Amino acid sequence: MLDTALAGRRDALNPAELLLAALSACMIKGIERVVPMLKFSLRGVEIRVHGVRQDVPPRMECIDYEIVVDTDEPDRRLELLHDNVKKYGTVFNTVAPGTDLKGVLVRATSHGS
Amino acid sequence: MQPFPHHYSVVAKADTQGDVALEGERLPPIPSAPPTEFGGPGDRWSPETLFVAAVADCFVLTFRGIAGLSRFSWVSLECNVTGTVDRVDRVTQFIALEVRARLRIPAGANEEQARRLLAKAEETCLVTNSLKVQPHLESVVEIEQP
Repeated sequence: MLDTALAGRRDALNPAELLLAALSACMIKGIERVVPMLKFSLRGVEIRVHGVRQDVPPRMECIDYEIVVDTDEPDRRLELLHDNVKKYGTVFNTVAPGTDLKGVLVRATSHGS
Repeated sequence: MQPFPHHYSVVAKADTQGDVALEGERLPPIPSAPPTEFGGPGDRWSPETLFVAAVADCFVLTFRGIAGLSRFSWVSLECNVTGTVDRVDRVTQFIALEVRARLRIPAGANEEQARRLLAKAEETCLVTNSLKVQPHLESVVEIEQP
């Protein structure tokens, strides 16, 4: 359901949430693509994306993300994976020049993400 | 409307196989997969189609808001957006966004004002204002016969 109103429906995505959904799906797609090439072993990924909208002019002032990877790979390999996410994402590369897009890639704790 | 700034959050979850689940507080989850162009099944929303949907949705809702503030009478708006992905300087990205808007207005409504409001919606779209690539708007205004 994509329909929303200015007053706001609480059960439908608004454009900003659609953009964040596209961005987060892009980062996961990027991870899925590079994992075989890097021979990177992981059990799962969760990405949390948070955007702040400014009023005038209307735009996304900043977008922050946290990529949580369930893996036993060493830290330097996590950095390598993050570098690949930032290099090869279609939506990521489209959004990054227009707003303050930044985030981290971290390991999931043993109790889950 | 709530005071600015507004905060929006989305969570994406994936295991090693299968759909990506896109979730937001109070929102129904969206299953997502790569598009066919990237080897995906083609029957799910992909990052690329979600991105283009955000542009189309934003344009329509922005127009609705502006038209309401201007007390402009209109019947329907269809917005067809095509995004072009290409590799520029070894970076894969959207390089063009074609926005084709078809607005239907009642007989007697001001066609020129309709075009101005469509252009204003393009200028003030939250999503495209957050991108480097700027959309190209083609608008058609149809007047209902009395």
